[in-house]
Amino acid sequence: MASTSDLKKNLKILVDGDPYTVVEAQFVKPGKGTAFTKCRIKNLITGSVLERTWRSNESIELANTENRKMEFLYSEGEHFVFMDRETYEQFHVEAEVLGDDSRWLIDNLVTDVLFFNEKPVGVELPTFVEMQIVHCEPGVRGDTATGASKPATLITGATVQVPLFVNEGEWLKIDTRTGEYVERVKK
Amino acid sequence: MLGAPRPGRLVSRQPPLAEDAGGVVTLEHIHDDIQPGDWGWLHTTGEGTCLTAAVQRTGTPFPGEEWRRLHRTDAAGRTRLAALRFRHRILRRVREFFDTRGYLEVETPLRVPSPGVETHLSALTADDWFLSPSPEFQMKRLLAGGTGSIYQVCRAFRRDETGARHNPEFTMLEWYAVGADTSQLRAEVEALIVYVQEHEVVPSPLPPPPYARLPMADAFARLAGVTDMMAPAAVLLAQAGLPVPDGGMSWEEAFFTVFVERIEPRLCEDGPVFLTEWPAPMASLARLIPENPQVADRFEFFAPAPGGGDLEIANGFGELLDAELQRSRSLEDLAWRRTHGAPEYPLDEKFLQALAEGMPPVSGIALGLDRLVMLWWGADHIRSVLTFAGDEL
Repeated sequence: MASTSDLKKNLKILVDGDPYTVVEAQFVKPGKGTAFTKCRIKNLITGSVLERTWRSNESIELANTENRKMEFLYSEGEHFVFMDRETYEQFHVEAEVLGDDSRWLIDNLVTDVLFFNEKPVGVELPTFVEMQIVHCEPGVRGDTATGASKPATLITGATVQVPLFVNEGEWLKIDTRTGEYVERVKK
Repeated sequence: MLGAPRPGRLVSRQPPLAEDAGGVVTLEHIHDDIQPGDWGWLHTTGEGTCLTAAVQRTGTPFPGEEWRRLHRTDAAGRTRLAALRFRHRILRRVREFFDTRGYLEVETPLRVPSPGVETHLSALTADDWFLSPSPEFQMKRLLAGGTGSIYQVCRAFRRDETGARHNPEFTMLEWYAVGADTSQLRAEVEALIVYVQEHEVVPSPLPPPPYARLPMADAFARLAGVTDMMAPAAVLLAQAGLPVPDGGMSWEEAFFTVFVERIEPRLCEDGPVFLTEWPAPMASLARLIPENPQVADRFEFFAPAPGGGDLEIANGFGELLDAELQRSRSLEDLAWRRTHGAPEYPLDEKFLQALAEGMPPVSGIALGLDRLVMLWWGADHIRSVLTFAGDEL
């Protein structure tokens, strides 16, 4: 348990059973009256942000959360298997925790995995990943202009739109936040 | 006047060059002790620039942390030092405003035997006394002594109040207008704002007055859908569409919950507001309005905040003159403190005695000067307009 004076940015708290991080906290004490702390909090599992106000005599429940550096090993049915880089302990992460993000999981990718009450509940991918193209239509030499694009299939089965000059077998840098092609990389 | 000395680091003796934040400058004179890599203060005079002997040897940061703290630019490209210069100009105009209106400037002690007994007050102790959370008692004793209208710019101290708009030690502008009623006092707040804005370049001025006067009951009705602000806690919360927490809430907590959740966020949508006629239980040191004793002759001034929302700027009272009523209110507050486990502070008997001897009819107001400067400067954190915030000490 904590008190409202502990409500600071990045504090991990438990609200209605879900873990949240404090995005912004503001102390207010209108009219010589009761003090409040108004917060914007972000759900660590769904990412949704909401506003919540606490009176100064209310207690705050802290969330038992932890970020661990994990390496992606392989997928197995509805699960993705990760390994803790320090303890070599393996964890099964459910597919729904990753959602669409699973398409950027390449073997041996190192990510932050959020644990809530000892269970993995979130995977924070690196902003950029590098992946090889396994299939796309042949390139058009000399067409380096922006605008026109074509689909390319990557090694995980994900599809991205790439410029016409990009070829099968090449490596790409992808922005995992938007799922967009950034540039070609030499391997 | 010549420019203030600035940090400079010697680059070479031959030719005599030093670097400062703006680039490389040619020197007219270097103190003998200074070697390339050392830094000290660059003084520019009519005869050129010299690097003086007040030198820090190689190895301390260049420029120093203190210099950086005051010269670092914010998102708008302005420094803390610029804010402090602005604050100085505002303070001068504020004093000028009251001086030209015949107010006497006073300075009352900061270390006092009683901080008051308000329910939600948490005072800082100083020896067996307290650091004053408000100069009110001593200023009222002066009024009872016949000073006439007075003002004061002083520090006030409140424990556990820290945030973007709070610092445990802050600057209060407090004034008492003898013979004035609260409507005249509100007009004087507007006049002060006009005076400063007419005489100083203010980066984010308030719109020109007059500002809205909104009775608290109307604010509850219009912004929260509450038909009677004196209704029980559960009714206030239900009408405002707010949940009743497990364990319930007192009326006062419910009142301020509705205020914080429903009223404050929209209070300043159309500009600054005087929120008037507070419920009688929140009268504090204000008198009740004779024609309607359900409400107190108390108002607060709110203005739109730079970062959105609003900022509580000032709290004014038509002052209570009845010593016996003041004593019984204080005893009620003390009883509340006792049942809620808050420290029990002593009553200020000399203040109560002064009321009993007779204080002239007067209206008084306390204005958070840091907040007003913050507002005018367009800062979203109080630290921007302080020399040192609590966590910088």
